[in-house]
Amino acid sequence: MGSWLIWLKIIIILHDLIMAETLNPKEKLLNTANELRWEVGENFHDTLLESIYKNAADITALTVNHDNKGRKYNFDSVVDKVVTSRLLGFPIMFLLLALVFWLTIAGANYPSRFLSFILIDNIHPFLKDLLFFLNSPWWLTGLILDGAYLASAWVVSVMLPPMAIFFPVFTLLEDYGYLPRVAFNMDSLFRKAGAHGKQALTMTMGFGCNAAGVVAARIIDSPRERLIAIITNNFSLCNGRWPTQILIATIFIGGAVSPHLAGFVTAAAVVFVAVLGILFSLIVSWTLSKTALKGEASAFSLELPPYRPPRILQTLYTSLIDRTLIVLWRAVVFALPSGIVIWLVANLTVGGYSIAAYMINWLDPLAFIIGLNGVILLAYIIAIPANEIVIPTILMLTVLVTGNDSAGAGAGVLFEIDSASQTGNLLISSGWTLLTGMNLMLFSLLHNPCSTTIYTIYKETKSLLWTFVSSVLPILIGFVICFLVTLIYRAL
Amino acid sequence: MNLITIILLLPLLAIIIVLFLIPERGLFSFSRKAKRDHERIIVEDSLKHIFDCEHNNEIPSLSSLSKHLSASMEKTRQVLHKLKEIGLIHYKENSFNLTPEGKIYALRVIRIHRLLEKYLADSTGVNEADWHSHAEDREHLISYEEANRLASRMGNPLFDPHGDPIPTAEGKMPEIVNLLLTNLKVNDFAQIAHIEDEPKSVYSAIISLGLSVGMVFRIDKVSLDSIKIESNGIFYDVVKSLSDNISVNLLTETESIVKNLVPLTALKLNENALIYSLSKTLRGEQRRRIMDFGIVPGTKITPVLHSLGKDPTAYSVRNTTIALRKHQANQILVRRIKSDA
Repeated sequence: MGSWLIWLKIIIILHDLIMAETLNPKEKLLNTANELRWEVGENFHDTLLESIYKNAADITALTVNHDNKGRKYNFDSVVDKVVTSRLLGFPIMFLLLALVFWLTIAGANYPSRFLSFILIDNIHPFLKDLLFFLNSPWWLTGLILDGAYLASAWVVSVMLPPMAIFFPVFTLLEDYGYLPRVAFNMDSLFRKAGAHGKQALTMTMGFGCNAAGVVAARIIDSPRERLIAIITNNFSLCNGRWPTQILIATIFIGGAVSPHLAGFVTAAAVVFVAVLGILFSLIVSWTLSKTALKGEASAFSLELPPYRPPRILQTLYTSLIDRTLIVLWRAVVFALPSGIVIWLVANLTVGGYSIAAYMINWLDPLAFIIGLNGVILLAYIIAIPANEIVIPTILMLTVLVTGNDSAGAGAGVLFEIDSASQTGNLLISSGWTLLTGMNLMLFSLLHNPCSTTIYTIYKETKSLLWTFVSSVLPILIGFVICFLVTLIYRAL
Repeated sequence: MNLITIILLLPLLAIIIVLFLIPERGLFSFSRKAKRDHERIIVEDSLKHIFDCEHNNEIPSLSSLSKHLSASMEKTRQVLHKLKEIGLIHYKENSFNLTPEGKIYALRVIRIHRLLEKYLADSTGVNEADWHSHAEDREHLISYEEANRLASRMGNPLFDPHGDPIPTAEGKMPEIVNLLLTNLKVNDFAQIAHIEDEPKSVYSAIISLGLSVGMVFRIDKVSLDSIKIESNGIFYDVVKSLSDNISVNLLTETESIVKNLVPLTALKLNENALIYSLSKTLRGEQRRRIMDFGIVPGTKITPVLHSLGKDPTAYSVRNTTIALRKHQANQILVRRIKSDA
């Protein structure tokens, strides 16, 4: 009601101005406008917005017919009542998320083996023969095939299938409208940690892939909460780390108890690490919101859109292109050079020893303090492009330094052993203990994000400072936690 | 002293000397710059004080100024001489007032200060009680051009978050005469227009009472040393020392409209209401978000869904469902309506 009066006033004054011949009409107009601003007052924008909404509502009321609107709305409110209810809300949420993870882990197994069979068991030897036939020198073959190709092929075969399952399923839930309800349910918990309810979603996405979780933080429109979600995403145990957890837990934790309890204890240990990650994520969120990010602007908004049948084909397409392939591409881009580095470190020798041996020797004292060993630390340094290749790198380096030739495709080449017990024998014969196993599980959770994620964090925040913080903070926490565990373990 | 010690000490000495003498960056030039900045702070703070006194029809004195700067009388006298030298004040015997140039300079500093407060309130998460002191520190560090760029980025705001007008880039500031809370009678309806942000202790006491600029209230009881006001069914006891720092606008609206207002959080599930106003304490990005959803005065709103602990709660507005946290919903005033109309 106020806004048209204001416009009328402006028009009258403009009219007066045009009527009055002045020497400098432009300046006078500006002055008048400036004076008018005080009269218009500061509620002017609000009033304008209010009248725009009122006009829009009036026009819609005249022209748009609502069909079945009431019925649809009722259906929505019934579903909402159930999924946000005290009794059923959380069980439904956990069941659905567990189902998504089960689908991912169980479903990815076969395509992963298939890809590995094609890329690593068949194409790799074939290319090797080809280069041999072409009289390529051994170092070139090693650099290109055993280094760059093998690392990238490994990343593709381990990373692609879980992401190709997880992202579409997750996107379908999002598209249906269920995920905003999860954010709604979880908001009271995350609010207490100084974060946004939608962080529950980016965190879950992080269980699939941290790089994708960081990109997903775009759904949080408040600057402070978005930064918190990005920095803490790495505490979600990603797809590339689950196999490490399961393998190490099977060998060292499951192996430490009686066989009929082994399966249960192994699973409990892995879940414990994942829950520990969530705990750290909340604690770090709270700390950041109270300290470093205190001055950042914060705004909460959350829309609960109506439920609608998901558009399956479109979802499949966008989640494959936007999420899976982009992340995979970034991973491969980083894996190529790092494959070369891995190969060089393992195969270049100075004075009779490989570079890896020197680095492992040099890292060993530090590693001993935190209950790990030099091989593990070196593996985490050179396998930075993807957590997926950490275990193969550890195995390769172990064989390299122990000279144990019983397994593997030859010294200095990435490999994996099919059975956990054989892997266990190799590791235990190289001096690994229960402490090494436990600390590796903890360190696998609490270390710097992979290079793909670091790059993505930089792309999303455009800030070197926050990229640095998100990379260094987890590894510092990891050092401290591993150190404490080691202290306690050795004291017992 | 042996040779090795000397060899070790010499480079150290060299480094220290270099540290001191690097032009622009060295400690020496740094301390000089710090002194210059310190002078700027004293000059600007003095001008602001004199301007404030003149604005409030008080007479600035040597003692009031020295108290404001927390400097000795002697030092204050030096500052005044310096201001006179630059031509910013007239200074004769013990009385002084601003020259036109001094007034322009003072208005510039005030503009920067109030713009910074507006910026801190709207675009950062800095505590409300710290806005003034943050702005006080930063106003001497940024240039007038930077402040003008900041202003145009914020859409040239007219008032700072305390309700004070921000002087325009041309140095214009309207005379706004507000009623003091102390001047109201029982059963007057009014809206808080301005809360004086100095001294900080009084300001903190006012905001921790829960009062904010834009709040609509009714005078319930007036006694010698305090005033009892009612807003949205909550009673506040404002003691005399606080009420002197609060200015208000008398409202002409009828009692019945204002009386039935409740915060959005007071509604039960599926209870219909019309939005009356959004409190001024919903600022910046947060206010825009909420208004973008169509949560504007005159809109029908209905709580439809509680999450655990009733925070957040989902509201139905214009056929969409929007979740708001409790502290946001508390800042939205509504009037209950009966029918579904």
